[in-house]
Amino acid sequence: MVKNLPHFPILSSLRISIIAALSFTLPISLFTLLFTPVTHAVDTLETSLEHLSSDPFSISLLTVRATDQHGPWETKTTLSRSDYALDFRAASFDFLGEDAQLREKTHSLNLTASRQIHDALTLDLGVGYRDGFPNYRSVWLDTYFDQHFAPLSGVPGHELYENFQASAASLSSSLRWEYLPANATASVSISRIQDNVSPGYEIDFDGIRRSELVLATTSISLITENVLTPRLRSRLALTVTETSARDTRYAAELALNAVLGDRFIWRNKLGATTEDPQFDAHYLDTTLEYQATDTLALYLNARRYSDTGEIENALLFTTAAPGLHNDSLGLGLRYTTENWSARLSATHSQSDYADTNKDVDFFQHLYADTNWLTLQLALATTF
Amino acid sequence: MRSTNIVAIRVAVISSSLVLAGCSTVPAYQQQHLSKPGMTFSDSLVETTQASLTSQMEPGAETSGGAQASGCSACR
Repeated sequence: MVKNLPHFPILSSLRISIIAALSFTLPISLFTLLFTPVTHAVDTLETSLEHLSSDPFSISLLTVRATDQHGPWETKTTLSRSDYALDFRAASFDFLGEDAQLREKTHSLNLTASRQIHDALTLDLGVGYRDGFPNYRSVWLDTYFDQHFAPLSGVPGHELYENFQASAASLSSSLRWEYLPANATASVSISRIQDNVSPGYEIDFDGIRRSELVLATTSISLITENVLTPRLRSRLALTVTETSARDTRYAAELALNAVLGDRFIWRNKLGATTEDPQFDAHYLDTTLEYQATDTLALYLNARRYSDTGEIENALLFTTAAPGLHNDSLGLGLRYTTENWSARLSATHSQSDYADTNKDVDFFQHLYADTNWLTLQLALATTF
Repeated sequence: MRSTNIVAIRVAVISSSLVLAGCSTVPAYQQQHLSKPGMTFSDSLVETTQASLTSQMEPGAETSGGAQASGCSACR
């Protein structure tokens, strides 16, 4: 059953305050931004193409971002398009499911505007919209529910079934305080996301039931960056996230970048996430970079991720992922000149899911151990 | 075991916060190493070495609460 929501008075009050503040400040700021005379054209143009593939899955992500100056405002416009190509495979005992080739596209647009509002204070405002599925798992599960529930006309509750189109809209704002000039910043950011999901369905003796159509997520982050020594820089991010019908999720990430000698940089990230009743995740990411010439840097990256399995509030049946270990090893290079920069990288990852009972697991081909290859190419130019 | 992990995480976070929110200042003329492209925490598409698609493989790695980290039909 869908569990009762715990009550968090502080978060609820904060959420109301956030929505009120965003509702008031965002329209005024966007109006000001739109009608401020343009003093420059595009300052920076960036693009990135990523491709992630394994045996049954292939995902491409193209991102284009323009940064420019409108009077006191700096704006970033980010457009992206994801292409999902999946080989949907039904479990051998699943007599309603059938193998299929799936193709989906997702487009998203994000706008952020920043301006200095005081000597040491910077305000960021953002809006975003996504049309389509956020990840390949959603594409897979949408197809699964379509194959199993669309044909059940006549079953009580079938009128609830509809082939929904996933989308999401978001608002965000952050305030950054440079409390030690050139040495330390602290920022607080808040965001609100309205996610129209393709819902899940379940059937029992009372007929078909549908899960929630809209998930609202409120997130608050505290981030601090510090220069610790002439060769050491740190960043700490703490995030509290509350999503409809789920317990509060807490996440932390600590990053440390160190200069070793004249030509080496060592970057490290340690992160953890926890959410009741049973989700814990942690990861460690380390990168050693070698500055081969003034313009060319080469790097080697290793990453280990582990979680205990996803949160789910299913009734009789679970779509949640089992526990996961994921190890990655990557190589990359970055080329930087005065006006141009580029990055090229390749990463191999190995996903290992906790064992499930294959005789009853409808999603054994979705949550299957697999090898992934990630290829990235990014280019940036400043004008 | 889980409660032990959570306590350890909380202790690590709190102590890290105290240690890393440093009060000392490194003068600008000593920061030439820190301004290298690989040393900054930039969200530039070129300077960020982690792929955006990593979150497709690792659902617990997102800390930003951004649109990609929001709900889906897999984690209802």
